[in-house]
Amino acid sequence: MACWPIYKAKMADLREPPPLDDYSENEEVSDMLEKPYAKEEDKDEEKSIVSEPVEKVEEPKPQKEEVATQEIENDVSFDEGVAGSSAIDVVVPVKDVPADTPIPAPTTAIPLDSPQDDDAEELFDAASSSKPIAPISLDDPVDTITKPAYLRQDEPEPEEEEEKHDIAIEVSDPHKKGEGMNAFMSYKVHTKTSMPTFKRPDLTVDRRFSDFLGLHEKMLAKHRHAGRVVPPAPEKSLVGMTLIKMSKSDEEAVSIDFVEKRRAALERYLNRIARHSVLVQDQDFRDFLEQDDLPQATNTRALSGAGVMRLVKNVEGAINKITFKMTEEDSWFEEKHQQIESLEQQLIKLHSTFDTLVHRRKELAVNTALFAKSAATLGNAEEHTALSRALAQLSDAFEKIESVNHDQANTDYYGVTEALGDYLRIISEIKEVFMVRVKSWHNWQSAVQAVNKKKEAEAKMRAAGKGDKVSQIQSDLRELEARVETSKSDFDELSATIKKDIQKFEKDRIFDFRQLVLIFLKNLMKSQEQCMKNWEAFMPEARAIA
Amino acid sequence: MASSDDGDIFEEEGVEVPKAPIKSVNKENKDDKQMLSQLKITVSDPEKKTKQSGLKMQETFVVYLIESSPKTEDSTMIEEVSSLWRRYSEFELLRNYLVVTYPTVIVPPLPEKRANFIWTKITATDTFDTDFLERRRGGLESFLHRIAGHSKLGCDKLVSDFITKEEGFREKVTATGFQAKSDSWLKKVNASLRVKQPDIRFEQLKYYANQLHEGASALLKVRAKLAERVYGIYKIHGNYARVFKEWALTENSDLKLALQKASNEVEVWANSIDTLIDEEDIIAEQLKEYLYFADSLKTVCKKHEAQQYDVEWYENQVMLTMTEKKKVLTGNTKAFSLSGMKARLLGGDTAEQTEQKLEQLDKNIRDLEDKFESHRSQASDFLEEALQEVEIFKKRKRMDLREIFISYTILQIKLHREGCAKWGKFKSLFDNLLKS
Repeated sequence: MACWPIYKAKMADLREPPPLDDYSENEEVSDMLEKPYAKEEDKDEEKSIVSEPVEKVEEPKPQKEEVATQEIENDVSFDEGVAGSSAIDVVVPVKDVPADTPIPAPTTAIPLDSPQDDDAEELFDAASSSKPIAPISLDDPVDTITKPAYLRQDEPEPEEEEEKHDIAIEVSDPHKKGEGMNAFMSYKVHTKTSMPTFKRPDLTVDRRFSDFLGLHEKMLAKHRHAGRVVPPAPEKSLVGMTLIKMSKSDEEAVSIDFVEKRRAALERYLNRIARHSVLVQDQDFRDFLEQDDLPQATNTRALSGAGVMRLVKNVEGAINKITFKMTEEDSWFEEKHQQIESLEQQLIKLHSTFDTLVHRRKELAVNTALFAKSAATLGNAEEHTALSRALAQLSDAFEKIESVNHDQANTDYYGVTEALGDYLRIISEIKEVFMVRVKSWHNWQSAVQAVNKKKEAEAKMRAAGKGDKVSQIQSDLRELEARVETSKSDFDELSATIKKDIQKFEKDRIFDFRQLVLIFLKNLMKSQEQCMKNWEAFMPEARAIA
Repeated sequence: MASSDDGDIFEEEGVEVPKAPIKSVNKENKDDKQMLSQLKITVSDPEKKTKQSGLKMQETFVVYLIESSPKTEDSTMIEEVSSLWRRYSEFELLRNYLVVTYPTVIVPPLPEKRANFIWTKITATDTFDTDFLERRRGGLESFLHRIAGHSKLGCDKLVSDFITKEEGFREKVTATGFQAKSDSWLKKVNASLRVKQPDIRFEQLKYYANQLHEGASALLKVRAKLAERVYGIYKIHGNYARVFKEWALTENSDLKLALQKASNEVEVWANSIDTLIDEEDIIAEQLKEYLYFADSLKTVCKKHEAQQYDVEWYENQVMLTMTEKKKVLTGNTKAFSLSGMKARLLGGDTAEQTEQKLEQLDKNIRDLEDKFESHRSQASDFLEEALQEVEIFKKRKRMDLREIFISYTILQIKLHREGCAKWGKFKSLFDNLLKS
């Protein structure tokens, strides 16, 4: 109930429908569409779209509430895809991506469906002014990859359904600022968006790492307790920063591996937030992208007072995890918890495997270079020209292979390992959110217990015949019972929000993983092919000996 | 090459190898004395045998089966198929004999006594390890083929005895007294250090041999490291294939199926590295042969130096004696020489004595000059023959190396092609993942 106003406000704000996240392949979308809207034959009429939402609105309200805040925009879920698919379907012929907002989850009522026609029409207008969606083939996400894997998959999203949630963020141009121990790296954050909530469609600001951490702290404070999964921020790295502080010039600092790693991680981080329908609306997030100057986030420093507070909270959290037990009534959560645990295990293993792989590839590259040198030396010793030429060519071939291998190592690294690491961090964030839920449940339970105690006290008083005390207790009791009501509803709300976020996560991760694998494989295949070509080129030389 | 059945090591699959050098040799020995053209020689079946050696101790060693059968109908070499067992030390004996008896020839090398340039997959130190034995077997076969294919070596009686008659080989070899003929090590070192004018070509050859040795050993070392890394990488892929499999168990979606299939594919690929690396190892063995050939080259160079040194020595001696003669003739006028003093004190030589001395000196000079002549002609013969041998060696080397490089390249191409195919399959699994 409380979410309605926000919902409506958002509706008004949004000019464009939430972007279909990922899997926004038209086919899938249309497939999905088929199901819920099977009855609806003519999707060509824009009207139908509007009417559908309205109809659906009548249906399960509570569901809507739950869905409301989350389902609006960028749900990467197929659900939205479905909703969007109706939009897309329409869009293709009509060139309007209406249902942006109203992209309802198939299972729930259409989100945007402000059940009110005005809104729907508003949206409709908005839709008509939206740009046509170009179907994006996700088959070749890797083509001109200059950015890390994660960002790439974001690009098709905005294009797929620009109306939905058009925001793309780029982190670039790392620069060393300051001197000595006070040195830090500054990054340019460039946002391209057509969302009306932002001041301008094109924003550029300078930010440093502690700013990012500050943003993260604020987001956590605001959203975690509501059950939303806040994307994890990149970690601090003492080694990296020391290297930077010690580096003598800007170029040197920029060329450190660590900087590139961090830049990519920051980019992924911001885009993940932007993907989240609720978080992208957050004022702090907006400020972060828009404001030229942010107050220095001092509470992110390791040795600050806030840092110590964080430590204390962490310890408390750890203890809670051990002591809090909860009787899980909702089997869904039980199941999910298990799944996530095991997923984490697998991802950890995968992550470490890939780490080793990267390592080995680098070693391989080094050894290949050595081999090339030895072959060259041997070639110099030979006096017969064909043989020595062949050896020289062999050496060349090996050198080329070495650089191929080196590149492959880098791709492995940036593309896969980092992304896996990201997901591991997301999973731990999810666990935190679970803990929040447990705490909420405890609140509820303690409220219930308080009520019971009061009831007992009341009974005692009655028995003892102290009438005035009884009325006192009764009023207390009413208070407590009200509290129970609110805490229960809080808990339920929380559970619902979490459910939604986790469902989104589930869909997200499959898509992300697929992207990851595809990119990894594409590069792998490319390097193998290159190696093969090198060898084939060497063959005639070998045959030419003698 | 190591296991080629036909005795001709120059034959490659589908490649025309110029047989010119061998053919010309064949023409010379019209009597079909060329062993290789007549016989098919194989070395196989390494087996362990134990024997009582002296001091009541059991000695365990490995023997190899050598079989030779005539290739053509009218072979004069041997009449029938013969097979016998030989152990590694007997091969060594044969080779040492050949090195001494044919100083101009670059004698083919034997496979290693201990395993070198090995990477961690193979147990290096165990001389009874099957892989090591297999490689050694191949090396021995190649050794015999090379010998049999050589115009001079192939004709040697002892060589044919080596492959036909099991017993009595050792005795025969020692009977030749070749050990006495071989130059002592000290003498060789002395010669190398003191020779003043070695033939420039041999100097170059020595230099080349050193380069070859260094280059080949560096290359082999790096190859071993490379092989290890490549092997490691493949195995890591196997690791994550296993993780996929486990993960698929907990998944209940399309992802599950994709993961399972992908896991199978990658595991198969990861295991394919075993066979590929084995093939690469064989090629590396062939390269090793050339590493050891470098040693043979150096030996020939050393012999030349020894000869040259002798020649120079004799020349020197001749000169010395001549100077002495001159001295006697001209009388000892130098006051402070020993003979001068002697002359003063004891009276000069009588004419008779001088005559005698002169005669003696003349005789010496003549002797020395003879020796000098013979050594010099010996040396120049040696030089010529050796240079011819070197030419043959070079041609053969080129062809062998060509074969080595071609097989290596083919192997690499195969490796990469298989990789590409596998990744393609893997990729299509995931491509279809979200479409289904």
